[in-house]
Parts: sequence; C-alpha cells; structure tokens
Amino acid sequence: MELSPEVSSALRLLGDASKTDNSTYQAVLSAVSADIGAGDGQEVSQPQPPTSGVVSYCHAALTTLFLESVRGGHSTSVVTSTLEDFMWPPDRVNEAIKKLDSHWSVTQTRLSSLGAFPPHIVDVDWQLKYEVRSSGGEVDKARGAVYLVRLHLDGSANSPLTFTCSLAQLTHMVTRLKQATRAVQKYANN
Amino acid sequence: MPLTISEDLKAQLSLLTTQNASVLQEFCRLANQYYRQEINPRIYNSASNKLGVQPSQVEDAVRALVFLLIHCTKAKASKLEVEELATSLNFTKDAVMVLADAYTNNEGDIKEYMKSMGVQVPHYNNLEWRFDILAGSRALHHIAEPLITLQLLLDHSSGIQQKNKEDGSGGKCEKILLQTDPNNLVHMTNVLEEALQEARTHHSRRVQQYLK
Repeated sequence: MELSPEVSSALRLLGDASKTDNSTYQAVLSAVSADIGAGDGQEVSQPQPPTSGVVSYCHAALTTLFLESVRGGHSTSVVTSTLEDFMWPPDRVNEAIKKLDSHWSVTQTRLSSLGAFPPHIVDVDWQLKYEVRSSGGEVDKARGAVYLVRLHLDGSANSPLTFTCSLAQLTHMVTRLKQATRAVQKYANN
Repeated sequence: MPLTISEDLKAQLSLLTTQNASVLQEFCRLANQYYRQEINPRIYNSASNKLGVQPSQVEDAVRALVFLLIHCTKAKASKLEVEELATSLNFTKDAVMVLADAYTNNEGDIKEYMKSMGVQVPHYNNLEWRFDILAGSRALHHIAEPLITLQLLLDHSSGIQQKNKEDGSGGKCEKILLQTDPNNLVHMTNVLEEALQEARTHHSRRVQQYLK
C-alpha cells in the first residue's frame, strides 16, 4: 500500500505510545470510525483544542489509511504489516483492524458510488392514452393507442425522462429489454 | 356552411388579390416553404423589390396565405368551397384555380404543419443495450459490478421536418445514455410488459371501439 510521507509520519506519531497517549489514540480512532460510518449529510467530527492541530493531522492520516485499504482491496494482513512497519504496538493494531473490518462494506458501497456514471434508471411509470382531438386538427385515428413512458433517474437533472411511443414501439422496447435480461441471466447462471 | 374569414385577414390578403396568377403561384410556393421552415428572409426582400412594396407586406401576405389554407383545412373545406371563398375575396379566375390547387395538392403538408404546432412530446425511436462488468474505477479497485448501459433515441421534431432532412437522420434526434443494474432492468421489463398487457384488455378495446 502506498502512502505519502505526511500520512506515514502522522501514523508513526499516532502509533507511538510515548508521544500519543491512549486516550488521544482512542479519541482519534472513534472519530475516524464515526466519520467513515456516517451517512451522507452528517457532519464530520471536529477536534477539540488544545491538541486540535496534532489530532487533526492523525485523524486525516488514519482516515486515509482506512480509505486506501478499502479502495485498493488490501487484505487485513497487508494493513497489519503496514501498521507494524510504523512501529504500532499490537493492541493498537488490533483495535484499528477491528474498526476497519466493521466498516469495510459501508465504505466500499460509498466509494463505488463515486465517479462519472450516466444517469441510473431506478423506476418507470407508464400511461396508456387514446388521442381524440387536438388544437392542431383531427388526430390520425390510425395512430390508436399512445403510451407515455416516464423513466425515473438517479443522478440527472433531466429526471424524470418522458417520452411517447406507439404499441409497436413499446413492444420493440420490451423485446430489447428482454434480450438484455436474458444475457444477464445467462452470465449469472454460469 | 360557407367559409368566412376575418376583416384583418382580408386586409392582409389584399396585396395578393391584385396580382396575376403566376405571382400567386410564387406566393403559394413560398407558403409551402413556410411549412417546412425553409424561408430565407432575403426572399421577402427580392419579392418586395419586384412588386414595389415593403418586405414586411410580403411577409404578412405569405403568413395570411398560410393562415387561410390552414383555416380551410381545419374546416375540412371542399375544393369548391375554397374556390367560392377565393372568388368572394376578389381573386381573379386564374388566381382562384391556383389557390384551390395549392390547397388540394398540399393538404398532407398542411396537416403535418398543424400537428407540429400542437402538443409535442419526445417520441421513442430506438433502444440499444450493452451489458458491461465494471472491473474497477479510480475510487474503487478490484470490483465486479454488472451494469447495463442503454442508448435511448428520441425524436423531437414533427413528421414534416423529418422528411426534409437529406441525410435521412430524421430531424432532431436525441441520443440519451442511461444505465441500470440487473435488478432495475428486470423491474423495468416487468412494468412495461404490464403496460403492453393493458392495451390487450377488454376495457382498452372498448375505449378504442367507442372512439372509432
């Protein structure tokens, strides 16, 4: 796992029992756990004076370690050996690994949502209408049924996306979607 | 029922009533271009120079002619009724024939133009899909997330503008890139299949029969 010199020196400081007492270490560890496990929109913890400078520095470094571990998919043995390289005592190593493990899947989920993705379809609504008249003159009776389809999107200013289609066109669309479903199910079963 | 038009429209058409049939033919051609949104403002200038009037009068006359033809189409007037109306507006005999011909020959175009003036909602054109496995990203390495990428093509323009695109691209066609996961794909497919079922129900058929 690659860590910058600043992060490495802060972690060395955090693990050194002679420089960082146990209560400070516990405070940093619990703050990092709270922040990583917090939902969107929740406020991150703020360190209290008089040690706020050093504590922020260590808090940032430990958070970076946790995030990089999940991001790189490193096993706990890799993280353990990294901390041991920074001269961490075994009890502090174990506590940190336990916290990391407990927040692993939550962190992974949140990291996976970062990035540039096209708008994600989460739901679909439909209406079936028969047009009778319009201000533009008589409606072509041969058109018959008209569907109004609304796609609900996550992560788009254009949500919901609305369009019309005829019965034949909706059939075409459903056929395409069924083809995609079959392809996915085939690979899922393999 | 006899066709009637407002005094304002009569006044705007007065420029045309004094012209001969060939000039009226030109105006009918301009009206045709008007439906297709192809009119170049310079045409008004050249026409106004030839006739010795202001370009704005030419533009008003073309618009009045378009409005007249739309009015007749909305009222579903027969060729005879159009001829009678034209005669009552003091058009010459030849001009009346030209006008009636313009009405009958361009009926389809006029109807398409009227449709384009109505309520417009983007219309489905095509759907392409692609099944991907996301192996990793900058934010998260070593993953295997199934994703379905969809390209939805929607038409924004009416039929008449689609016909005139030489490259056959079909007017304003919007390509929208979307994405979904397997669960939402199955959900979406099921919901839209229900929609198709609804059209085949007894109730829908009754509504359709009633409207025929």
